[in-house]
Amino acid sequence: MDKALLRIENLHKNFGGLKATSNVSLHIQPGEIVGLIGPNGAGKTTIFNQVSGFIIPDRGEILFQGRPIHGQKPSRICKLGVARTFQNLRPLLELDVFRNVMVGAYNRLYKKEGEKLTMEILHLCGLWPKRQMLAKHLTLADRKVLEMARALACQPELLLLDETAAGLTPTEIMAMIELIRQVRSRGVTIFMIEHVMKAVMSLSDRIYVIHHGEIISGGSPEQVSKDPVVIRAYLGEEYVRP
Amino acid sequence: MKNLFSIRLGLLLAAAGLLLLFPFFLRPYIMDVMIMIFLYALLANAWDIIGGYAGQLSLGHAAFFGIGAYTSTCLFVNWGVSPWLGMLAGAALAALAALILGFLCFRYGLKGPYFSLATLAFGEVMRLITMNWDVVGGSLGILIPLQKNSFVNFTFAHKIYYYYIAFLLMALSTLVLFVIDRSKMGLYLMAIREDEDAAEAAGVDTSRYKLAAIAVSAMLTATGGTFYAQYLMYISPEEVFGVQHSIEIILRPIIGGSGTVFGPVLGAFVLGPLSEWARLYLGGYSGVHLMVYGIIVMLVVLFLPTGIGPRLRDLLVKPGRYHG
Repeated sequence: MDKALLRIENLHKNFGGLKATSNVSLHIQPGEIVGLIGPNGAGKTTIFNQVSGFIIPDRGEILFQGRPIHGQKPSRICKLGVARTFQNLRPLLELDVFRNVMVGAYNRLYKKEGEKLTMEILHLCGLWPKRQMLAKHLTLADRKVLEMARALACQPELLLLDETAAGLTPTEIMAMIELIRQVRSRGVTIFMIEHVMKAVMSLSDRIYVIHHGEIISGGSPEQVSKDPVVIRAYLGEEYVRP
Repeated sequence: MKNLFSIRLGLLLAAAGLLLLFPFFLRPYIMDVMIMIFLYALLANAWDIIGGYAGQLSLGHAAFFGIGAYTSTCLFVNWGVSPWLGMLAGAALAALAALILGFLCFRYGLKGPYFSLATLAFGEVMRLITMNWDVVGGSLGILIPLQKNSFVNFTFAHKIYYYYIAFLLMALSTLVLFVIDRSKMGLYLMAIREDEDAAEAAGVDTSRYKLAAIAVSAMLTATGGTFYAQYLMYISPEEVFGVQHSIEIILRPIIGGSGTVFGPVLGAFVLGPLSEWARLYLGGYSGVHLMVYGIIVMLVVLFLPTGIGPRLRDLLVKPGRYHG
């Protein structure tokens, strides 16, 4: 019996001639925080889009709790227990903060319990005082938190975070790191794309590095940051110490 | 908060009571204007579900209206089926048409203007079919023969009966809107309107909810069609299926405030008298009343883009609440 919460096997996706995802295999165990890093355009978000059902893979398998989920509708995958945030945030602009989160809460709950969960999550994320504000009036940092709150309200087993810390000030990044820790302590497994090294290094149990659609390295933050292949991909040949 | 709610409920009941007592003191002409306001309030409510809440701008609601009108009328004229049953049949048929149209649109990902164009085309196709189909009267339409006063036949000598039926249809459709607004479905539809991908990612089966919305909307619209047929005793393809009619249906919720419970009704009560007034006083100059009507509509859309209702609420109830 496969213990992995998420297992991706030999995943392929081409956009025309571009190999966006090329033979990607990876696994995520329950309770882990796993980072996914790589240069711009490496194909990180494309992997997220395939896991969450927005893009259908050309070949390969995506197994969640041992069951194949590729080719299913995003809403169905969310019902099964995979929630995501978007890199280019997608708040429901004309709705207030409470309703934004409530949309997620309806994923698995009825109205009464959903409202209770929404309240709880708003408190957890520090958005409670702003619950009546329209999402369009929130700051960037609050929008990022809101994005996460909505995904969290879906009560996922696996949470996909797409660059949650990017564009934040150092103080806001610290708060976000703390929030992600708390989310994990609620028993949510986290798979995160992250450019902010401070966040990804301090949070991740393991990291996968992707370049040109392929996984080029994987392991603990320590191992990955010393891997010559990774340094070459990020910084260029001359930075690799002999 | 509780207090505010009871004040609003009180106002609502007072207004409803006034409207219920009203007809006894009205001239037939004014009563006729009121009946048309109620009818358009019903249609506006119906449109608001798919157009306002779900944000899918249908330009073809005349199609559902026409299906309601033609179904009950054909059943009544040819086989003597009570228009009340015809109303149900029409609603069912309209829902079916909406499901087929919606399925095709959503299956192939028609969004925004493309969905609007598809619905527009659907309305036109329905108009052309009825115009060229002699079984349903062709372009001449159908005249419902005068019957004796009878509830079963949906035929009454006095307008007051139609007044109350129309009022009831308006009230019921408002209630439907109210229930949807407070429910999971309402929130899901709003989420779809705001961002379909975000909604889908949060577990909203967007095509299923859009289908449900357009089906309910079509059913309510069709009941309006049956009422219209029984009230005027005459229907023609141009009148019930025409693009102009679709536009008339849309204007009310947009003016009053789409995506809200009372916006569509408010829009009907503002635009009804307005168009009547324009026709009455400017009707002598051909087309001028439509121009004036159009200019007023443009002004409202320009200066109150969210509609009269939400603007009023902001001014009266909670000034600046959302701008903190």
